[in-house]
Amino acid sequence: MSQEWIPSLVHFFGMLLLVASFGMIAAPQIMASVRAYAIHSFLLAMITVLVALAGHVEHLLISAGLTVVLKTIVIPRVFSRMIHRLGVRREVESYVNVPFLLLISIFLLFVSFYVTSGLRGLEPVFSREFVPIAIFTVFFGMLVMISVKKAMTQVLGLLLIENGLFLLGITMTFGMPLLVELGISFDILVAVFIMGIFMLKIRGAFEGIDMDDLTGLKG
Amino acid sequence: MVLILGAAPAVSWFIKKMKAISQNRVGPRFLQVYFDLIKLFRKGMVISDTASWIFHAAPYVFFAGTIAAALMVPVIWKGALFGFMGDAILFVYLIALGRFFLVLAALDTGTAFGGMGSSREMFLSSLAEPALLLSFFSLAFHTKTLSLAGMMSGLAMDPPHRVIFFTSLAFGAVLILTIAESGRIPVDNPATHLELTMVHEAMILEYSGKYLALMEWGHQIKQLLFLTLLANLFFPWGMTGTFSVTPVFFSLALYVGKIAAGALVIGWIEIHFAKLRLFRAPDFLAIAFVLALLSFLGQLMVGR
Repeated sequence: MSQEWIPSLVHFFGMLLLVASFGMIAAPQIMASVRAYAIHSFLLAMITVLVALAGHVEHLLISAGLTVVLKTIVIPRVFSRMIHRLGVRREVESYVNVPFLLLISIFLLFVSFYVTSGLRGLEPVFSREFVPIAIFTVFFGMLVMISVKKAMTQVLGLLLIENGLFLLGITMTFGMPLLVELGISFDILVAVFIMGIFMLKIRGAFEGIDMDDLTGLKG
Repeated sequence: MVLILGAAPAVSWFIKKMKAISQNRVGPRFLQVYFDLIKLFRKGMVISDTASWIFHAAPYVFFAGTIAAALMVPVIWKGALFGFMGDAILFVYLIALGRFFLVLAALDTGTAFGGMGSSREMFLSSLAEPALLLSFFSLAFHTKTLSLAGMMSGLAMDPPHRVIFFTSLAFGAVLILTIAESGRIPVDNPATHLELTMVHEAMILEYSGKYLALMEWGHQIKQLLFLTLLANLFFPWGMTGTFSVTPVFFSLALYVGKIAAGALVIGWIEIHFAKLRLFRAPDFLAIAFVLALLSFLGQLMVGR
């Protein structure tokens, strides 16, 4: 791959990453937003490969492979099985409607641009372009967590935050040491399983995983 | 110019024929669309008593506005005929001027359908217009010029992978807008007069004869115009700068190929998708808006 391709590819993947995250809230069904998450993680892995090849950091290839296997194959599988077992209604229900959510996320994008444009002290080792995108992904994961009623999508939001941090990590410092990376991946996997069990318990107690029902727990 | 005028109905025919074949029908002959226009031009007009001058002026304004917009888009030569006159912003607003008069004329006769059609058209265009402007702006950022011809030649000079990677989002936005502006299926259904679904058809319901012909033709030109934008902005290679025969012929053939490919995509979408509910259509256009905005922001990011 010639050197001049890299800026275009960086831009392209960055934009696709944003599109995938927007797709997550625009998706009408839970399964579709899980799939959008899978695409998001896949693009993340592609970016990791790009960084690895451009910066000659070969150990990143391993974590890219790990991302592909874990986040685009295993976790969506777990989610789809969970959706079947819980028998949740298929629509994503949010507190505000989709166009307004999109507006909020565009606002968040502007905020993350504004915030990161002042960061002169930190020089990312790779392209500057991914820094606002990574910050945005973290913000956006939080938005997904607070705007959606179902517990399932909140887990997705959490995973999205993790994706954002990963992206920030690889662009700022060529990623964490491999051992830490492995630990985080394992952590995520366990977290998803535990949250799955947790959701089953919530369903058992409240006949649904609607977050509004949890307010009944307050004294 | 003459090419756009003449070829516009052919594109409509192409999509119609494709749809017919997919439904195991024979479909219209090639010349049928031209015969339809000629027939309409010959027919007398029935005009409502309550119609004012706006009703008479609107077809001309719509047609002229669309043609003026067409003059600013380079088709097979690098320069546009009236390229010196204005830029992408003027293009957007000439289209908007035509639309404005169309809406006024539909309101003018005071029928229920006209009002319904115009309110829907405005509802959708209020989303489509900013998206179109934003995608133009993002291309303008990339090429450092606002004129359409300049954008095209600027993009044509870039290496292909850069064009494809940098403008892909704007391409998606303009593709959705092409579908919306030419009244194609996920947004509007051109083949029906069912009151629940029609947008464009509801507005021209009161027209007959010559005026209807102008409206139809203008609409077909608009459709081809957007396809031309799509072809020449995002696949800007092969446009010739000279007037000698061989390059012109070559770029003409390439242009026809590009337009046919674009029409194929639109026809494919029309075959495979159901029409969206009217209140889902803004979501569809919101996708275009978000894509355009992202591409614009992306250009800003690169510029930093």
